[in-house]
Amino acid sequence: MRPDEREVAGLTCSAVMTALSDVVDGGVDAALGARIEAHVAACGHCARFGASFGALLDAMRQRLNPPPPVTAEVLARLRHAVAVER
Amino acid sequence: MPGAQDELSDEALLGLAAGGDADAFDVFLLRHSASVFRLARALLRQPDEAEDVLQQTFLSAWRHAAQFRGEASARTWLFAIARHAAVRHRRTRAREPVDDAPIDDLGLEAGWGGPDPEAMAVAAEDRERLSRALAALTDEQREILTLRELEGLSGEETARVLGLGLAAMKSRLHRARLALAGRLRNEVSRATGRA
Repeated sequence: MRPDEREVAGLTCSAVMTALSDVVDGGVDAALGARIEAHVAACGHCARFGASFGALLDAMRQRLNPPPPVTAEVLARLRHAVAVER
Repeated sequence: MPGAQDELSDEALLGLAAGGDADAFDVFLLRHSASVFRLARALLRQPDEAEDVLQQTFLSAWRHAAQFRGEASARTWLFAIARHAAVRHRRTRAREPVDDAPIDDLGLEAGWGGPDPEAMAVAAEDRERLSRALAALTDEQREILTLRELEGLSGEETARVLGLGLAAMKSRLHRARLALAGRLRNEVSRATGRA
């Protein structure tokens, strides 16, 4: 538990942090979503952490895609292995 | 020049491969080899082991193309084959430490409630830092982040590849995301000399 843990809109900061991935993925129901929204509106820590968490995931998807292509040597060995199997 | 089969869906290519069309399978292979290799590298640090898994995956896909029923997407099916092959490789290695840290501890390491929660997002803009942070995670964490974030599988597809229920997948994913954030924060701390 955080030393400055608060309860706002019937949710603790810990509960909001635990639900963060569901929020990011759009997987919370409307009632819980409204309570989280109310909590975040009144809790600067959770608002900042949540925004940063979402930005991290966006950056990861952008910075690490597309995957590096396999090298020509690896690809040649792969195609050879499949050709032998045919 | 792209061939006519380049425009076909994965499912159509697998259907042709099931009938023995080697060219269609080659298009499928070229389309997905980089992603399968990335997943294999996420699970097996040694490049030669990952290459073994890459070959086993596509050999198995070729042999069993006729068994693809379209219940999941072709990518989900392919990743499940790759994971199965990688897990067989891993069996001979030491088990990883169990990730049983309380969720609040993972959050605190990620900067939850700290003075600079933006550090993880700023650090994530640096591709090299991101790659190092990802490499520092457990295989299990790297695997789920690769499937869900990098390959963009849905939650249901990710759960299917991992052989998990949706709730268990969500819990593992959230913990892995927080662990990544914590590693990125460590990267920033190390760079700035802060504890």
